[in-house]
Amino acid sequence: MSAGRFSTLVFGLTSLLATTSVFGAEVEEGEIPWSFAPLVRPELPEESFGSWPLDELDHFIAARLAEKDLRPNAGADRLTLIRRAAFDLTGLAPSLEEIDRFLADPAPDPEAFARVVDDYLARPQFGERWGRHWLDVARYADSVGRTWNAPFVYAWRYRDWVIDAFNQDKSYRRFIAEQIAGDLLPADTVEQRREQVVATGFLTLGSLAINMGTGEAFVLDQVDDQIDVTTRGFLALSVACARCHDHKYDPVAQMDYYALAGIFYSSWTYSGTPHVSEHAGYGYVDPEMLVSLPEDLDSPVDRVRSVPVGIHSMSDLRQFGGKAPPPFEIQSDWAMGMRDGKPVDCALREGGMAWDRGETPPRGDIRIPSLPEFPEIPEDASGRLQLAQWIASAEHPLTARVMVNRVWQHLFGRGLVESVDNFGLTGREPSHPALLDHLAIRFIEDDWSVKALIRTIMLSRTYQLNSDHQEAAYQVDPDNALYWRCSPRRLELEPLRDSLLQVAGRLDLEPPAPGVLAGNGGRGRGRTRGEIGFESPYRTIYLPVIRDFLPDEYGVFDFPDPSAVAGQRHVTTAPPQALFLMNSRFVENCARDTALRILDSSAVTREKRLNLAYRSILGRPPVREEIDDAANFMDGLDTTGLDDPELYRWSTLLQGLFASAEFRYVF
Amino acid sequence: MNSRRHFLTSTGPAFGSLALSALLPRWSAFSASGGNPLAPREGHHPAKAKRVIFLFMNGGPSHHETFDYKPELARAGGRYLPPALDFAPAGKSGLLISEAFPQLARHADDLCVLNGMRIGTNGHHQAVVRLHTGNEMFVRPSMGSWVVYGLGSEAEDLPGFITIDPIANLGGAGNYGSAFLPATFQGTRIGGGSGSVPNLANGRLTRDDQRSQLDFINRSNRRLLERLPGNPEIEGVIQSYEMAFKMQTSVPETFDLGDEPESIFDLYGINDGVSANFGRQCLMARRLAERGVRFIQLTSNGWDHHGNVGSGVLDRGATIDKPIAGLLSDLKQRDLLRDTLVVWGGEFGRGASEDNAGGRGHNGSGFTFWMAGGGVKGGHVHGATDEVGQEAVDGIMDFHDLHATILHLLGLNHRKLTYHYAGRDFRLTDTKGKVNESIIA
Repeated sequence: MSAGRFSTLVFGLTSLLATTSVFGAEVEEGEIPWSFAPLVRPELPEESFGSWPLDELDHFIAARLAEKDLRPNAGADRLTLIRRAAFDLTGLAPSLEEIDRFLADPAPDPEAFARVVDDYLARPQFGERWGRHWLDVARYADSVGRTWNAPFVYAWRYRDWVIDAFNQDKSYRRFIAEQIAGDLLPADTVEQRREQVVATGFLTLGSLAINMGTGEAFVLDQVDDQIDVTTRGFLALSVACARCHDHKYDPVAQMDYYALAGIFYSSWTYSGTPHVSEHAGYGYVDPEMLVSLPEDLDSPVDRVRSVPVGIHSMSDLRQFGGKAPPPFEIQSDWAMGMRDGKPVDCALREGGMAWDRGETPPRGDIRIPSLPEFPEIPEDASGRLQLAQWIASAEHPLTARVMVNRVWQHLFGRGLVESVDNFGLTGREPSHPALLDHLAIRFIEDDWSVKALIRTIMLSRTYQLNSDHQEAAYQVDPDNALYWRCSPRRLELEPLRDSLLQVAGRLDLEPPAPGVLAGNGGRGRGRTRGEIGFESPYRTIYLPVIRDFLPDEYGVFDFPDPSAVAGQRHVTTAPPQALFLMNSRFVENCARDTALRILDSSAVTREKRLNLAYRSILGRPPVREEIDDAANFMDGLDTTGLDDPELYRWSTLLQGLFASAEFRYVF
Repeated sequence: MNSRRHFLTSTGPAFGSLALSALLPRWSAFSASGGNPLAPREGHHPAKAKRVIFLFMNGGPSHHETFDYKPELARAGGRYLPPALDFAPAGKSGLLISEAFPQLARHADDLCVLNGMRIGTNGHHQAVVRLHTGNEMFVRPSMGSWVVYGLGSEAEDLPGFITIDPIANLGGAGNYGSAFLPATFQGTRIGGGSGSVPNLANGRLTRDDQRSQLDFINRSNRRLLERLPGNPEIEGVIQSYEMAFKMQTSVPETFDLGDEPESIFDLYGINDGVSANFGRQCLMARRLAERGVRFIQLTSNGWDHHGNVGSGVLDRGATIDKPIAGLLSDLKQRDLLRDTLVVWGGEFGRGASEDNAGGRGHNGSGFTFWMAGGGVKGGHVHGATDEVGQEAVDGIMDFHDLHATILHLLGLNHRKLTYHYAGRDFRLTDTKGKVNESIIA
C-alpha cells in the first residue's frame, strides 16, 4: 500500500494491520485480502483535463486515463442521457413527455440532467428497479425449492419491504441492521416495529430440503444459508466456505464459521414451511411456523398462535381433494421472520457432519484477522443484534465498499471490483482502489444514503459520457476498464419485459394484490404455482418466483438462479432470445397493441407515425434512411386476404423495432 | 496513487485454461472478442467420445433382475428375494443378461457393465440430483452443462445439451440446469411427442414476410453497428437472429421423423405399442447425435419396483429393450457408436430382501450402470456386488467416479474442468472422483 497517497484514516481507526497478529506467525503477509485494509480517505488526484470534472469522483477517472495518455469521449446527447437515466433509475423507458421536457429545458446540461435524475429518484418505480437488484443478492423467491417445493406464502412482505426501503432511502446501515435483527431493534411506532420484523424475512428465504434428513441437519443447513447470504450479501466474503474445514484461500477459520453459526443457531427462523421433523398437523405449509407481527412496542415477537378457518395451511387444502386448490388467503398480521431463541453456542462439526461435534466456539468469537472486533454478546441474546452492529459499521472495511461497488456496477455494467460478491483473495482487485474508498467514505458521510450515492455518480462526468467508439482508446483499453466511454448495457429481463408492456400501453404500475400463491409444493396438481404469470400486466418484480419452475423466458434472459446469492447477472446472447422476440405471443401482442396505439394517435401520415414509433420504442426520431427503409419494408409485406392490412404492416414493423439491438441496449 | 495493493500475486487455485476464460460471467455468444461460448473446443487430452447419450432410468431399476445375476439369493434360506427373472449368457463375451432385455442381449459384446456402482443414499431425490449434478446439498450445474461448458457443441443450429421429456420432480429443472454457469450451457428441454422448443414457430407471419422482417432487423442492427463500431455484442445479436431463423427449420427437421424409412421405425420398435414412445426418443437421440449435439439425455420412468419386481422389470424392459438395441445398431451402422458414449442407469438399484410382495426396496450401496461405445470395452464386466447383490465390493464406482470417467472419455480432466464462483473453483466432481481407466478400450 502506498501510504503516501492514503493520507487520512477515517473515523479514528488505528491501523489494524499494525496492531493485530495479521502479519504474525500464523498468517503470512500476502494472505489478507486487499479489502480488509481500513478505509482511508484518498487525496484527490490533480488531473482534471481542465474543467472536465463535474464531481470529485471524475478526478480519479481522469488521473487513470491521463496516465495512459487517453482522453475521454464527449458527453452523451440529451436523448441518449435520458434513456440511460430512465432505465437505470426506474427500469422503464422515458415517456415522450419526459423526453420533450428535458430537450426543451433551457438550463445548462448538468442542471437540466440533475432535474431528470431527481425526478426519477423520487418515483415509486425507483424502488422497484433497485429493489430487484437487492433481491438478486437476497436469493429472493416465493417457494422453498428443492425436494418439497412448498410456497413461501408471505415472502412478498419482505419483497415489498425492500422496495419501500429503497424508495424511502432508508440509510443502508439501517437497511442491513433491520434485515439481520429487525425484531430486536427499538422502534418509535408499532408500524415501524412491524416493518422491522418483516425485514428479517431476509434470513428466512433459504432454499432447503424440508422433507428429508434429521431436524438437526436441517437447522445446520438453514444456518449455513443464513451465514452465506449475510456474509456474501453484505461483506462479499464467502464465510460459508468454512463450514467443513478452514477456508482454503481466505483467512476464515472453521471456528469463525461456528462462532457465527452460534448466532443463528440461537435464533428461530419462521418461514412457514417447516422441516418434516417439526410438523404439527399442518404439513409443509404451516401458519404456526410464521411470526405474528407485533401489535405493541415492547412485547417480544412471537410466532402465530391461532389459525382461523380458511385456506392457510397444507392441511386446509385437503378439502379440495384432487382438484387444483385456490390461492392461500393472506392474514394481515402474519409474516416470515426471525425471533431470538434460547442462546446456545454451536459446536464445530467435523467435515460439516451434523453428528460429528468438535470444539464449541463462543457466539461471535470471530477472529478473522484485521477485521474489527466483534461486539460483546450478552449471555441471554442470540447475538444477531451484535452481528448487525458489527457489519453495519463505518469501521468495517468491507460494508461500505461492497455496497458502493454494487451500486457502481448497476450504473456502469461492471463493478470497480468486478467480482461483486467476492472481495476475498480469489476475487478481483479494484480497478480504481482510491475511487472505491473515496465513494465509500462519501457514502458513510452521507448517512449511508443510497439515493445520494446514485445521484452523485449519475451527475458525474464519467456517467454522462457518450458510448462512441474511439480508436486510440480502444487500442489501449478495449474493455473500457478505464471508463473512456460509457459501455453499452443490455436490458435485463425485467426492464425488457416491463418496457415492452409500457410501450404497448399494457403495463399496470400498481402492484397486484398479495395472495397469488397456490399449491402445497408436491407433484402434479399439488405443485406450487402463482396466479399471475408472464402474460400479466404487472411489473416483473411482482411476479412470483417459484424455484425450479421459472418461466422459460427467465432462463433465456439470464435471470439468476433464485436459490443463491447473485449480485452479478450473466449477459448472454443466444438464439432463444431472438426466438422470443421473433415468435412469442407476448411480443406479438405488445407489437399489435403498440400498432393500435399509433394508428389511433393524432399522427396520421405515415412519416409522423414512424416518428412516433421510433420515439416510443427507441427514444429517438428516425433518420431519413430509416423512414425509407421502414416504408419499403411495410410495403413489401404480403397483405392479401387480410382484414386489416395496415394493422398487420404496423405490427410487423413494430415487432421488428422491438427485436432490434437498439431496443435491448442502453447506450 | 497507483501502487496496486498486490496482495493477490498468488491466485490460490490453479486455474485451468477453461477456468480462466470463464472467470467473468460476461458471455457474448458469437461475438468477435469473446467468441461463441458454444463453439467446439478441444478438451484437455485426446477424446475417445465426442458426445454422450444418457439413458436415465428414473426410479432405480433392479440390478438383480437386469444385469447382476445373484443365484445366492435363492439359496440363502428365504432371507432374500430370489432373482425374479431368468438370466442367460449372451454374445461371445457371455455376459449374463436377464430375460427383460432379449434384444439388447444381442449387443452384449458392446456393453461395458459396471456392477460396482454406489450412490450413497436411498432417497430418490438425493440420488437423482447427485447423479445429475454431483451434489444434492447445493444447487450445482448438471453433468451435461459441465460437458458443454468444457467442449462447446458441434451442432451449428441446435442447442448443445438437449434433454427429452425430463422429470419435473426430484430436482426438476435443476437436473439439467446450469446453476452458476452461464445459462447458455443449460439443457434445453424438448417434448418427445412434439419435439418442440419454446417460440420456435411464428403463427402470424408467412416465411417470406418473416424473412423480410429479419432483414429489416438486420439492417437496423448494421446501421447501429456502423454508428457504434467497437461493440462486438451487436454483431453477436445479428448472428443470434440468423441462428434462430435457421433453428426454426432445423429443429422441426431434426424431430420430424417422417423422412426415416419404415425399416428404421421397426429397428427402434416405434411400430410396436409398448416401445413406441421410448423408440421415438431413441431415434431422436440418434438424429441429435448425428447433428453434433454434445449431450443428449432421455428418460424412462417407472423403475421403482417395490412390489412384483419381476413383472415390473419385464414390463418396463419391454418399453426400452428394442429401442435401445435399435439405437446401438443404428449408431454402429452409421459409424457413430465409436465416438458416441451411451450410458444407461438409474439413481440406484434395489435391495436383496423382499420389500412389498415380490418387490425390492431402494439400494444405493450397490447397483449397475452400463456404457457402450465411446471408447469403452465391450463385452466387459467391471466391478461386483457381494454375493446377494446388496453392497458393491469390487471395482466400486460412485457417482463422482462415474462423472470423472465420462468426462475423461470426452477428453476432459475432471480436476481441470473448473468454474470460479463464490470465492472458489467448482468442479462437477467436487474434491473427489477417480477415473476408471480399466474400462477404456
